[in-house]
Amino acid sequence: MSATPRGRPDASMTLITEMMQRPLDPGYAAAAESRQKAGLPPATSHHGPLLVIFAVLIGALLATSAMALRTPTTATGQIKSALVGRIEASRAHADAQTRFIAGLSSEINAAQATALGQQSQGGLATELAGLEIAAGTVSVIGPGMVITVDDAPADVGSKNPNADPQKAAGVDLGKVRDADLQIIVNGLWMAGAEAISVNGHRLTARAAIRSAGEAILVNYRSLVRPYAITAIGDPGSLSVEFADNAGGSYLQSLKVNYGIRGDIQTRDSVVIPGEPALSLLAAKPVQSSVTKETPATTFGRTPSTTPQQTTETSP
Amino acid sequence: MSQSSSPTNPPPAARSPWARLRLMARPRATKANAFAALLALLLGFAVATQVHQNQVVGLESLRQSDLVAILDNATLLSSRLDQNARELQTTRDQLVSGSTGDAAALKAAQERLDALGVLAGTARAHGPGIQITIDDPRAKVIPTLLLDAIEELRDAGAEAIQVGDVRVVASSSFGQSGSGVALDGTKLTQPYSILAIGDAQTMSSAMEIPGGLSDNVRGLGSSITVTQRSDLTVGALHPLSEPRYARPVPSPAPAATP
Amino acid sequence: MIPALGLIVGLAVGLFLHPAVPLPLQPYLPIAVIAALDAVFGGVRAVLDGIFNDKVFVVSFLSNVVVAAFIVFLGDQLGVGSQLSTGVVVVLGIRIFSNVASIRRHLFRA
Repeated sequence: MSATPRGRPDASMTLITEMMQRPLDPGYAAAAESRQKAGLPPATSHHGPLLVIFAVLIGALLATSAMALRTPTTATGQIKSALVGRIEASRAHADAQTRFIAGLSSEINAAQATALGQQSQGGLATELAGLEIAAGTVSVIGPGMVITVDDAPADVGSKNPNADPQKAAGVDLGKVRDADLQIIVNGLWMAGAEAISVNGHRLTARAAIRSAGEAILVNYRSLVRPYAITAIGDPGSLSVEFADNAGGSYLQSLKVNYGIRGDIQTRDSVVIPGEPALSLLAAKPVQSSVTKETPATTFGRTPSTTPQQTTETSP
Repeated sequence: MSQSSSPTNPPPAARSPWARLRLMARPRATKANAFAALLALLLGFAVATQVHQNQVVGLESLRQSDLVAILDNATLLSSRLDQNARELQTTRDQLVSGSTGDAAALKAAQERLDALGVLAGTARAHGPGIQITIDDPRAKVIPTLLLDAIEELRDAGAEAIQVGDVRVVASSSFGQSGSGVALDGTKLTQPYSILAIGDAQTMSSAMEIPGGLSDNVRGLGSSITVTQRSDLTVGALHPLSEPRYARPVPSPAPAATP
Repeated sequence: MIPALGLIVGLAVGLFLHPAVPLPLQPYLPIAVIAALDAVFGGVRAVLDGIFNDKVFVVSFLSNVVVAAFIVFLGDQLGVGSQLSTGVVVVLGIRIFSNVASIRRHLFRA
């Protein structure tokens, strides 16, 4: 390479070095030099009329742009932030109540365990524990899988030529809907899952997966994307059977046709939280086990043998 | 910082980076250290706030109508939790006070047994609710339709549900069976009869909302009737599920992520 | 002192009179503001360095604003509007940072 007048190794980086090392307009230095040569002080007066006029103009520019560019707090914007505030307050209250209920339940369970033990009602205590597990009020741990579902990435729609007419119809098919989660969860149950939670919310007999417009709710709680569906089941067969059944193929078709992201991972151990606030309001048992007399009498319950078919899922 | 060059304390330049790091990590009570700790604390706080803000941003990007619906759900959840908490508190106070003692504990345990039995599907239940009959002679009903119906019923507060002779529990799944629908492996015969115990009015309205079950069934060309009942019985039972892979965790349930 | 007062007067005028910005100019407003800020900080640094020149200040301010707006306008026409405006913001931002750092060194010797 021939030697250039500058010859510096970073000559090609003048843009960056100029920017970082000489941020001050070189005009100042040049003007100062020429003034010094002419015998004047290097800096000009700070009070020239030109400067003052421009200071006023700059002030006006800053103020005007600040006002023009500020996000307008229109009436809609204010209503929305009020709604968001109320939702957050309600959510915080619900979380606090859930923790409170969980605490109360464990206190009650402890008191009951002692009392039942004293009354030789160990059988009742065991039965209660078994039903708590079956109903989903206790946290469980075990091998399983996690399916993380998320909307299609924003730029997928523009590349997919089929997406445009659908978008024009006003429906964004790249967004995950409640039906999608329902079908995936249905597939997991069919594949033999023993417990499932969505974003940490346990699915019980009373938990519903619904939509409110674009938001998905589980058990009346709105979810934030991505949606993590956790399931515990037979490590050897859960993922395989899910992939084979209607739920697995539905997820696959979502991924292929709409670009929806669905990442399936098997895990050696996952924790699924329980739903402590599970109770009844309207339903009553046909045969109550509450005894009217002394605790020594046996309580009446339906026998475990039932007349109708009770086939499990797998043939 | 010590500058001695004894064999046990080599000069700073000769120390390995890990040793230098360890030296820096040792806590010293200097003003600079305290200030640095304060700044690190603020940084951590800012990160946590930003992460939380990220979760909340999800809400702000929604439409107003969606936010109203979410608020309705959140309010409903709050009121249910409040009621649940009050009942549990009464029970707990009775147990702990010891005044009613043993009999109260037994009664509370038995009542809980009853409730859990209904929820787990091992006990028959009765109460107010609705009966839905779907007449589908041309076999147009698909599993996802019934799945959606069950979810809608649950959202409307259904506490015990059965379809045909099969009890619906948390782990219930709908599948295709020939030309019809199977619930938990049992083929359902049409006309499909759904019994649900809960608030009859709420559940009945939920079935009639635009785009709801009634609309979907009629759109397929089949017919549907929804009847409110003041007392009906859900008599189908589900065998007690005894999980082989899910073991209970002794610690309390962790706070759920939104 | 007097220029600072002038700045405050200008801010007040803008806040109270609330002049309406014509719609075609609105997209260039953010870039114009950043370019103006770059010129202002450059001027303050020049004052502290002792080489301030009001003519240079005025010319740098006007040229900054016009050139920045022009670059964004050109980018819009070419279809790379957002990328070019990002580039302009990055360059002006770095210059503002460097000038402010120099001002800080003058004032606080830190």
